[in-house]
Amino acid sequence: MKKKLAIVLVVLMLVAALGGCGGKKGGITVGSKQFTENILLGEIYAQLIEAKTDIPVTRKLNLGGTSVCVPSMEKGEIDLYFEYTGTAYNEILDHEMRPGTSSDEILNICKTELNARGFTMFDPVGLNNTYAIAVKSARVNEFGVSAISELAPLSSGLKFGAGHSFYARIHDGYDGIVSTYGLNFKDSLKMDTSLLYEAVDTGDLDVIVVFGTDSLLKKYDMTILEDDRGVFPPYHGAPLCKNETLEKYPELADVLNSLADAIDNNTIQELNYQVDVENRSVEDVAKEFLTQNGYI
Amino acid sequence: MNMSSVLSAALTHLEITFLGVLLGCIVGLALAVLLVRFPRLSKGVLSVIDAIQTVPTLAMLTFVMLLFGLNNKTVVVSIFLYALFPIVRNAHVGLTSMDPGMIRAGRGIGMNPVQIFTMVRLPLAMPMLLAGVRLAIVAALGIATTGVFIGSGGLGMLIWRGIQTRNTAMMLSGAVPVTVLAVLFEYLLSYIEKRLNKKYKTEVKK
Repeated sequence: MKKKLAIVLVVLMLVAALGGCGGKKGGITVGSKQFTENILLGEIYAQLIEAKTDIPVTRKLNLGGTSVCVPSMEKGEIDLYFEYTGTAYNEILDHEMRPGTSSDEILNICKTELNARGFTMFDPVGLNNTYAIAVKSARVNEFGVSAISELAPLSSGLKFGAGHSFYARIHDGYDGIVSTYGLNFKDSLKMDTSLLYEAVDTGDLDVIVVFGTDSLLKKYDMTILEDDRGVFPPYHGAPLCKNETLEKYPELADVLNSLADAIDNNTIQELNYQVDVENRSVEDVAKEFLTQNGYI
Repeated sequence: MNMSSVLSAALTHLEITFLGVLLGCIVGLALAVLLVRFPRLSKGVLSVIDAIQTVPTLAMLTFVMLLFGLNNKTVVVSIFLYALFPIVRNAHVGLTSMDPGMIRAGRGIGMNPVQIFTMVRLPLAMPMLLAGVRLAIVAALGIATTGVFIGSGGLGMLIWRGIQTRNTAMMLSGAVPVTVLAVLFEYLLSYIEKRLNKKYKTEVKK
């Protein structure tokens, strides 16, 4: 008897766990990829939608990258997330990134081809999360440079460091910058990206490769040198939303457009810094950004 | 991050782990019995289960997500699929590797096939079966941490957010409970396994 009861209980538990909640809720679901900046932007759009419309918003932040977000959106599990033009061009649309393709060209291809896939890419918010060459701000005057091309004559006396993947890229990695800018560093080291900042801080390295929106750029007071020959592909960020959702909630388009050109690299660095370095919560930082700038 | 949020994350983590392994036990044991009854099927079924085991976790989660959505269910189903390997393999070995004399003895004293299964084969296979469940649970605790990438709850959220924001305290508040749970279950189930081993050995001797 006891055994039978136990079996019935177990079966009930499984049915409850697996069968429950069938129907889809109304409203929209905002997703994000698994790093601070993307989570922050997901939260910013979620709060903005909540403030500007009556649409109920569910959050599914911290999903495992583009390879999870795109199928989730296709299936209708999420309605929008924040994507980068370079990633959309390369990973979603499967185009090979070639140096010299202008950022407008890439954006237009993304918009057109993503639309054919049932997604709308909105206008970029301004930030460009691509590779960048950085030096300590304190040494910019010593070097007297503001662009990578000016670094060439000095490079034989400088130590360079970058993450492993940077050396593996074909057009836009180490080989790309060395050949395009005629650089010839005294030493070129490979190390984990998290160590680069400390190495440049202690003077073990002079020039490092970073991401343009990295919060640590602020923490370690780094200056980015201009990529004046356009080696690095554009990774301009913009909301990516399902067309069906926009048809269902036409008021959403204006909200998603309202941050166009509103978040440049300095702004997002600062926001990332508040979360990553000052350990503030994503919700607070997002809310503060929106209220201080008058969006909500 | 505080005590209660860690605790509720740990509870969700355990719930996901157990439901997945429980499903694995039910289906896995049924499969193993089927394979004992129809040995010709075993090669095919076991190689499918082996193949499932080689799928990388995130790929598995993404695939299962297409059927079950971005929630705990997807992780439960993934854990279930991964649990089949240790459970079916061990149960199959346990159910088939006993001394054939035992089964003949059972028949000799007039047991019918059902009795032979429930009173001879199953008790003798129990320690092996439990070892499979133990492996499945410990692995499942780890798999459940990856669930964060398809939007599930559990301790994974604390671990990954901690790593992303270089917040060691937050990372440890997720990682330490997972480790403690894994070690705890490892010991607990090994202990039961040993007890069972002893119990059935003496019973059989009687």
